Amino acid sequence: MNDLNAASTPDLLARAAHVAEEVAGPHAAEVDRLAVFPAAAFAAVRNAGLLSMMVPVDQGGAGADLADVARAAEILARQCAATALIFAMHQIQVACLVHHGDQPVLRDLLRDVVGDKLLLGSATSESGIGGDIRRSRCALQVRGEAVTVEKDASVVSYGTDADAILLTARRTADSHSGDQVLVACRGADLEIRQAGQADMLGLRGTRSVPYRLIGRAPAGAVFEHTFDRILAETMMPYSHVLWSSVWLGLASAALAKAARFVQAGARRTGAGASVPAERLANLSATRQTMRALVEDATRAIGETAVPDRSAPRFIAQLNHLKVSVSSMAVEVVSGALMVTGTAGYRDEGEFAMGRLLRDVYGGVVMVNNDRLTATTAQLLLAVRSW
Amino acid sequence: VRNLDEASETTRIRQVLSAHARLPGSVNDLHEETDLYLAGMTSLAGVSVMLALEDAFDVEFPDRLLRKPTFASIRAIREALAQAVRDRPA
Repeated sequence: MNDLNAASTPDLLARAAHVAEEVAGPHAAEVDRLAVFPAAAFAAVRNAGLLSMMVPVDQGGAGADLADVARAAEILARQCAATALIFAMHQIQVACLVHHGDQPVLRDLLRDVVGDKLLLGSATSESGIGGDIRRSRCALQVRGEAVTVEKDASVVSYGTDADAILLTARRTADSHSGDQVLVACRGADLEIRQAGQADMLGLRGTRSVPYRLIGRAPAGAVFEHTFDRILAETMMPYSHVLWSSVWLGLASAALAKAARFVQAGARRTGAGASVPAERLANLSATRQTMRALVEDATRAIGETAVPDRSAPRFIAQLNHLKVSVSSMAVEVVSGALMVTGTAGYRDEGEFAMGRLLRDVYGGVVMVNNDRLTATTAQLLLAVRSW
Repeated sequence: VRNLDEASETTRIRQVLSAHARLPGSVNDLHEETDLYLAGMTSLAGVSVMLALEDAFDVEFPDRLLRKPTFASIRAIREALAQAVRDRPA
């Protein structure tokens, strides 16, 4: 274990802030404009030991908890949402390995996340399924001690920059679409070919495009827990908290610009009441609510026994978090644009709100809020005490 | 407490599953212990099954039973129905 990995929470968050301000922020505009992987930021994230922050101490990591990782994602998002979202997606895969990967091949992979600072990606969506990650078309093919899977993934983020990808497939060619497993394929065992374009409005540095994947792995790289279980116990709850933290960071970045604008005005005209100042106060209140929701959900995950994470009440709570925080983030960023007016509408300068606005809309359209609310409405039919 | 005949009860459970579980295969192929989620029942279909069971058996499942394992197999469903019947207000 090296010193970088044995770090306290304040240390880790200070390092995240340093990476964000010194590297991710200065490169953010270019990453967005060119829609390229934030390579400089991730070199810094790696060097700071942040990729393994959530790996338990006895496995060489820093032993950070979900709340710590959520704070780190928020800090990164203040400077570069693409960097923060990639960081979040990586940590979700790490959590799956930590909680469900108690088998030698997967423990080796986690060890290399620490030692070799591997970046983990995910390929759960598939063409022809309609966006439902609980169904797969592709299936594992077992060849002796190895498995192979060929998958037309409708979207993979940072696919060519991930060192390993966790992907879903049907258990066997005879399995129904919902009988899914998760398998970890290392980069060297992956053929990955871009299968389409996706020139997105925002979060462009995540490089989220369709890929055709051909992955090979030892049979021991197939998680013994079903994907259904991994999704319910870890992937879904961690995703909603970490993604929400990214939207919280974006809202904070917009709020900081709006506050600077209002304060500059107040220096000229005094601290009397003004429409922009009042609007800023309301946005600040909304941001406070967002933070409370993230912290409340993080606590709820910690306090909910693993078997109860399949309860409709728990799933609904996390769906509410996702829908509420992403909607509020759009409200805060667009409200901040109203505060700054034409200064924020310009594409350059310290008040420019364009990239933040484009990025923040990702939160409401990815895992579409309308669709998620429809699902939640059905789940609430099974909640009996209010 | 109504005396539920086990065989007819299982038949009615199978009828509910057939109508609401949206399984890729036939309900007739299910054993007592077959894991319905592994057989393809989604969480949302599980909610439909739960509501249809309440209607068919005139019970209300309490919150503590509204968890995935409660509806994971025909046997689990029968045990949950028995508990819900016991809990039913007189």
